[in-house]
Amino acid sequence: MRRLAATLLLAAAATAGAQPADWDADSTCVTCHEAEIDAALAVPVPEWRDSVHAEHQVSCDACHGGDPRLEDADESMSPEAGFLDDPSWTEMADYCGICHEAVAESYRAGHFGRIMQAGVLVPTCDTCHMQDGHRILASQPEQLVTRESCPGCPGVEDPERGVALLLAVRAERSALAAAIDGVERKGIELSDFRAGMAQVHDAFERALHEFDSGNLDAARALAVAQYRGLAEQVAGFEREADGRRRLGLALLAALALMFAALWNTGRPRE
Amino acid sequence: MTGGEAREPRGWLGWLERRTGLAAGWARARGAAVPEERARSLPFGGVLLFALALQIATGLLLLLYFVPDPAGAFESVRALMRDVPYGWLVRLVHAHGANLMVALAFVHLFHTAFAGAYQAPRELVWLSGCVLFLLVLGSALTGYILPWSQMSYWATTVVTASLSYVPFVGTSLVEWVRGGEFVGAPTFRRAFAAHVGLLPLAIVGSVALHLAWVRRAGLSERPRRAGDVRAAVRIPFHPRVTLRYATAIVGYAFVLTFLVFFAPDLFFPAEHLLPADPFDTPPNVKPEWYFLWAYQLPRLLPEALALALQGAALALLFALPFVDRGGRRHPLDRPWISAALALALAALVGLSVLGYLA
Repeated sequence: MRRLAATLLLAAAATAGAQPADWDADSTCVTCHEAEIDAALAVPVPEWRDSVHAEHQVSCDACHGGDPRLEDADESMSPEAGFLDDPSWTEMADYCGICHEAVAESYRAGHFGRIMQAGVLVPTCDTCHMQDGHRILASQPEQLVTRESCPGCPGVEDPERGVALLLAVRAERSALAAAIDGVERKGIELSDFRAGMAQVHDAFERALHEFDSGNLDAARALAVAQYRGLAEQVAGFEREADGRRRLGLALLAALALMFAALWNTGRPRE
Repeated sequence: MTGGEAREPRGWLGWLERRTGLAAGWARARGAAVPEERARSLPFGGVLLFALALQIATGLLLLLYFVPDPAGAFESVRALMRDVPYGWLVRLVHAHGANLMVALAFVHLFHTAFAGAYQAPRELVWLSGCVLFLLVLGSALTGYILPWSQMSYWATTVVTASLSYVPFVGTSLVEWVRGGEFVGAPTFRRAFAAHVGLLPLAIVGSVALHLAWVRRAGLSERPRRAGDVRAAVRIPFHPRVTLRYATAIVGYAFVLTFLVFFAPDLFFPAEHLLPADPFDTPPNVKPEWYFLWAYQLPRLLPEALALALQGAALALLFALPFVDRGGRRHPLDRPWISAALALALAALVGLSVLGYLA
């Protein structure tokens, strides 16, 4: 129900042509927490404003429930308004899974999800993605996955290797994104390649969030191969764009000569 | 003027000439006496005529591959840009040409106004020019929606929503233009019909009238200060003036070529490269640069007042030849009109910059 409500809210905001700059101006959550006397309760607002959630107009209620349209703070955070408060560590994947459905499902079915059922304290979404509070950043595995932080992990025999593999996948993705940006700046539209890149990313993230070191190598190899396949095709468009520029240079030179000749011919003679 | 009557060609050329009179018409046109300064000034009208011809030619070529339906429009533009041989060239010349044409239309309008070239006997030339200016803006607007990208969808939403400021009938007007509550398939079809049918017909018809009235009134002379009684030197249209036109047209082609090959993304932000998604509003949705002034004004003033001001400015534009009838054309000899035009130009540029930065 909450997913449906969040989707409808997003759709309503989008179809009404809401102005991105002030779309959250009437949110009771934002106005009250910004004015909060207890500084700790005001901290999430600026963090959230910097986040990918704010960028996509996903507000507090998408995760915490409640009704930001109700002016009274108590009413907006009442059980009747659907307020959920902060999730416990065992609920975290369900909260994030409201939107990040596939990744949450992988997590629940994977290594950590399974042993969580037995009451073992395991890392959850916030362990990696809320290191900087509500800014919700991409994880920093080189800082998180160490022999010290994962002493009892049976699958993490060589944390440095695991981190290096993960970072290698990210590097392939960044290089592909940069190549697509470069080609698009030269006028060739590649949104389908962006979509293809997102599909590879989603599939890899699903595999990664199972935290099963046995599957991770295969998932990494597949993702790298797919990214490189896309990069090769993008390189073809890059060569095409460069060919267009050479043609452009030749045309500009011809036009410049024509212009000079016409200008000279049209000059009044003494 | 040209050394006597041209001899009538023989054979099939003569047959054609007796029926069309093209050679005789060209002989009359090349010999027509025009002010000498026309061989030294910038021929905005002539370049605009070339730009229009280029838009029509490239538009017709685009029609061969463009799928006029929201379900296939974006894909067909992508195919044009990547798969169709030289489709990218035709499409980019059309898209950048539209922007350059609007820019030239603004310059031509203000140049004519500052030069007082709307005064008698050129009132109809001015009026048809104003109509053409609006038609060009309408054509640019309706063409903007056709690639059915994120920015074309959302910019059309913003532009059509501005009609809601019209008192009493605003909401109905928005729905009538959009063909529904929101921008969608009916809006697309209306824009397509207007862009490839109604507006080109109206533009070609208006250009024909504009040129006929220019020919009847003659090309205007450079405005002279009051008291300057020197007789204007007149020269045949060909070769000096035609050379000037050709030089300017090649200059225009140079700028357009540069944009097409070296700044293809200048007028088209990244949102143009994504298919339209009615459920995902991109940040900073704005209309194209030539509508930024109209977009920004209601943000600074009450909406009704902004609309009234825009309406009044448009009415004044059309009424200019009937307001400024003093017969003096030099800008310094009609300071109030020149000041009003300078103010309008400053407001236009200032509002556009504010709209861009907003």
